[in-house]
Amino acid sequence: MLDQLQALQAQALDEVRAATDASALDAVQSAFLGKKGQVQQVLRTIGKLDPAERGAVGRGANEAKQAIEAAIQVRRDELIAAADANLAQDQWVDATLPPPKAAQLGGRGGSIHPITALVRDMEEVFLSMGFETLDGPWVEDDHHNFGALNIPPDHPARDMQDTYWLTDGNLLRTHTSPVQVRAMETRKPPIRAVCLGRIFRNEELDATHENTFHQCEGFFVDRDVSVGHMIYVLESLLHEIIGKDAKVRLRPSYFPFVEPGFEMDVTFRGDWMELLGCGMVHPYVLEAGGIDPNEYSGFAFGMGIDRLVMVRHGIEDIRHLMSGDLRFLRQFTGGLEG
Amino acid sequence: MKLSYRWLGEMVDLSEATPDKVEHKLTFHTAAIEDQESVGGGLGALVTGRVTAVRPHPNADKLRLCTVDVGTAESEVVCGAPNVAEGQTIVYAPEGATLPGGPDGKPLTLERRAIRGVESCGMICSEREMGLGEDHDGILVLPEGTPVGVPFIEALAIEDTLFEVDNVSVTHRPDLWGHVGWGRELGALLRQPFEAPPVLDTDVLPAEGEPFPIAIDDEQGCRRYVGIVIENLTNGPSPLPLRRRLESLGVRSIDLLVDLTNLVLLEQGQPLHAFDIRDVRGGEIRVRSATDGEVMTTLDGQQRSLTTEDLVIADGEGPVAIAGVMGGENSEVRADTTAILLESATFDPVRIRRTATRLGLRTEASSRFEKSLDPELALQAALRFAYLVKEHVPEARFSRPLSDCYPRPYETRELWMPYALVRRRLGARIADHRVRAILSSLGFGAREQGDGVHVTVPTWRNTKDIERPDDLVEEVGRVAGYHRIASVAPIAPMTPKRPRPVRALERRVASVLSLEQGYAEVKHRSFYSAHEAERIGLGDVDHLRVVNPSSEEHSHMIQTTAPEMLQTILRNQVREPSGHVWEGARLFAPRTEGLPFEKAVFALATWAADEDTPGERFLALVHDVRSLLSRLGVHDIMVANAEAPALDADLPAATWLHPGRTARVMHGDVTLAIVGEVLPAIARRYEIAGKAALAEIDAEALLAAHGEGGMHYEPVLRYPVVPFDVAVIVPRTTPAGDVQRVMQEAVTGSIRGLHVFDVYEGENIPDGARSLALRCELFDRERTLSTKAADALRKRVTDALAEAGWTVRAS
Repeated sequence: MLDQLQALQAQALDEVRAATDASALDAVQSAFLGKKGQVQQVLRTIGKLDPAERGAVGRGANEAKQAIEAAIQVRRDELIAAADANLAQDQWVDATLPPPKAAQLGGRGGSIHPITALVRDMEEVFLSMGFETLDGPWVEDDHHNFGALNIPPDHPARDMQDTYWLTDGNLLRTHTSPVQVRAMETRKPPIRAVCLGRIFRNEELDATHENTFHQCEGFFVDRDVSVGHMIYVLESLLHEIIGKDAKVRLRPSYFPFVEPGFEMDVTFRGDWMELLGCGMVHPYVLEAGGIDPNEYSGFAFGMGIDRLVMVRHGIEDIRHLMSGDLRFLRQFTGGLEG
Repeated sequence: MKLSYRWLGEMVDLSEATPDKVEHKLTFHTAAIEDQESVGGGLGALVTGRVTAVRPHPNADKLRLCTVDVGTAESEVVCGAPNVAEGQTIVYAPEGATLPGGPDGKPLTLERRAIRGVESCGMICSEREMGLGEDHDGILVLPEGTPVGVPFIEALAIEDTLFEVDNVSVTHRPDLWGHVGWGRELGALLRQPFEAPPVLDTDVLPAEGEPFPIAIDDEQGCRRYVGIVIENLTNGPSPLPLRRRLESLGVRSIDLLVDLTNLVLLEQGQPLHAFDIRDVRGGEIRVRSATDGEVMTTLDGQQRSLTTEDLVIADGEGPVAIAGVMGGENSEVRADTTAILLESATFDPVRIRRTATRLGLRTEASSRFEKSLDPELALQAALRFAYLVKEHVPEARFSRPLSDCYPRPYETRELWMPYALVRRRLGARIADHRVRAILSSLGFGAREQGDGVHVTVPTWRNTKDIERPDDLVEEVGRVAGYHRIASVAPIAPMTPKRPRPVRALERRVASVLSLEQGYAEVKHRSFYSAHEAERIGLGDVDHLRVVNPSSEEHSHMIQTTAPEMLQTILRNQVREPSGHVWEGARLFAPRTEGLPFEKAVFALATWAADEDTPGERFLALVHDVRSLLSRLGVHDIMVANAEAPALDADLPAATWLHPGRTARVMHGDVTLAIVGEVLPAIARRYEIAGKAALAEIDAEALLAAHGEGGMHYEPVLRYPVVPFDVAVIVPRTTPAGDVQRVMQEAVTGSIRGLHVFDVYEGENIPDGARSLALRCELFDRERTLSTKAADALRKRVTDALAEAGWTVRAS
């Protein structure tokens, strides 16, 4: 019986070595190891054996099984490696050929991410009011993200923003305000600009916490710009984005780069909703941007886009936004006009 | 930080106010109150009572029968507390009252019932039963003189409303880190006088004798250090009202002396430290920088290793406290302390913040010092503490004059603010006299000078908060009320503004992909894990990394969108066997100086469970990229097979793409895009079923190629065209594009619509070769193409193909 098993094993190993593709290997596997395979058939006769012999034969059969399985796996890997080694020649496809008609797409299932959709709406409102749209690097230096915004090193306000620091000493921008600094460096008042872009905060993820956000930053620097002007611009935006009957109110708040600083609340479905931070650009920030604060003043505001997207659509879990889940994304097919 | 409404009411008359009104005032004029909480609720039924008789219980040794007088009536109560005694004033809970802390920690409603055979009518309460503390060793005994028969919450001022302040919103206001500052604000807002809590009259302190020796070696680190020696003390548990006040504000009661330092902290916002004078070795205090490697044990029992950046309080032998952060274990006040040195100091905010951050010890003290405290407050708080000590321990003695080292006072700040500035900045008109009144009510010196107001900044606003006239505008504006500012349309030049070209391009890309080509837009994060870098084959590539990621998942800035795209394919393929997504992303790579490499790309991905023709996912994606470019007006595109191409010299080669099924899309010399099928080994690693192809398009290069919109007009052709098909046998790996180019160049200006309509390999075609069938139209812009002229054109084409070494099979 043991001899028979050894012979089977040798035969199986020969066939494994001879196999040149996956289907041949599958055939070997079922011929020897399948339910009706030859090793199994040997095992079936075990009952007729002398009980003293049974143990040895059982062990032998298992060893043979394992040896064959291992050889098949090795051969499979070899075949894959061989196939992968010659991919460039064996599977070459002429990139300049058109795809078969059947493989071409038909314009089904397209959708725009709800953040992109809101960003577009907001940009359009700002463009119509004469604002430029700007963006800057996502990786920023300390000066543009903090220093020039009146947040020197060791300032307690640094705690307000959980920062991702990078190996090269730079950081992932924690707000879109650095764009304000960069804009002032290269422009002279009057400046009216917005930046809608990605920002980062060092947070653990859960249903209400993200580490990747989108923010809308806007600022307006000219002679005699006042809080009243800021209210007008923000009201106009919110009337377009939220609804004509949206009302706003200001509360005092603190951001190092504005003075005075405010939180703005807006009425939304009958309640006040905390929406954005804003204020008059701090004279220090104007100076850092090369603008004389005695001659010019300005307002600035920053608004989280993600949260607004969530309340706009009633999205229950912030993680959907970055999930890449088509069940979520495909629902946003409206508002696609170019 | 929590604020007690009752405490504020001790400084400002709130008899006309309500907690809601105060919350509203503070939120709309000072800083956000995030929450309001009532305490002492549920204890309304409890009254104070006197134990007039205590008798043994007939059936139980440990129980007693007490007669409680509640003024109007007497009740018989069974009580198990060991400390109950005749003559005590206690808290009595009548039948029907509900107590927050029953024996199982749940609320308990009292019923009349018999205890071991004797009926008990109501209960005498312990602290725990009332939810006021942990003590359950006995009943709460009220101080002598407490009136009997009055509601307990009134007798002991238990009832209160607590406001939760958003700490971030007072980062710039060191004066608002204690109740006094809020009381002052409230006075100004309610137009009520503000009454500061009383402090010790300095006359009480001896004028003669040696002050306790205190030296500031590091004047940069310490602006002021006030020390008061208080002797003949008895320490012990604090009386109930003091404990209540601290505990309701979240501070654990320790003993009287420590509790009083904490009370002053909460009241004045000034951290204090009481040293047991026996532990101040050598009888002196020195404020100095720590030496490198100096070690001390803080009172939390932790050993701390210090550097020269840290500031310590040292006695004659070594450090006894880390200045402004935490005291040392070796000098803590104890139960048997009878004499203390009280420290009330002003430390440098930056030094304190650095030390607290480095040691991971953010304490109530450090979070206040880092806000730049007023050095005048140091003296005031020390005298307030002394006053309170005297109140609680009347026999306390001040045997030495005050020690006051004050090397660096702030200079008085005087500002002039034109009235017009208020109007210009706010856009609201506030009467001149009101401007002055508001500033005065906040403690500013304010007198009219010319067309403005001359202002002296009070010391508690002069440490960094108020520096310029703009800062005064904020004060006036917020107290007057921002609701008074009306919306005003700005007047601005009518300069046309259009979206920035790159933004306009992004919009068009989004529209073409999402609207016309059926791609769903996804967003992915901009980082992946080290594991992910390894998995995609970039384990050895130097990444820009996050130093302090909150999760290992987000440690490497992406150098390709491939890992996230593959994850998205994996996530969706269970439900969607085929699909197409795109994303606007940025790729990053380290650079030696300045900002790192950062490139905006449009990434596309498509997948399908299986393919009818090998490589069709790849070809379909190339096709989509080409049609996207064409829709954007970018023509003259060259597509060529490429093995492991890189989108940019700073980015890694795309080794995750199939070497035989990857293409570079070029515009002139510039790589616009890389498109390829996912390498089988990578697809297996990511458990992608079927085939997937990925593309990355360089946004900036695309913008450059796109130029001014890419419109290109050619006059409409007025003469008929002649169709022309040709079949040509070429080596198998000769791209059809090469054949097309040869044909195109042979008859430039007379050929259009050239495309491959069939590819054939097999019978009648030599091994290693294939036949391409191409179709086009020949024309002449000036006239109808004659048969002869058409033949000549055909011949030029076939000659050129032959010259290229290919066999023309039929034409």
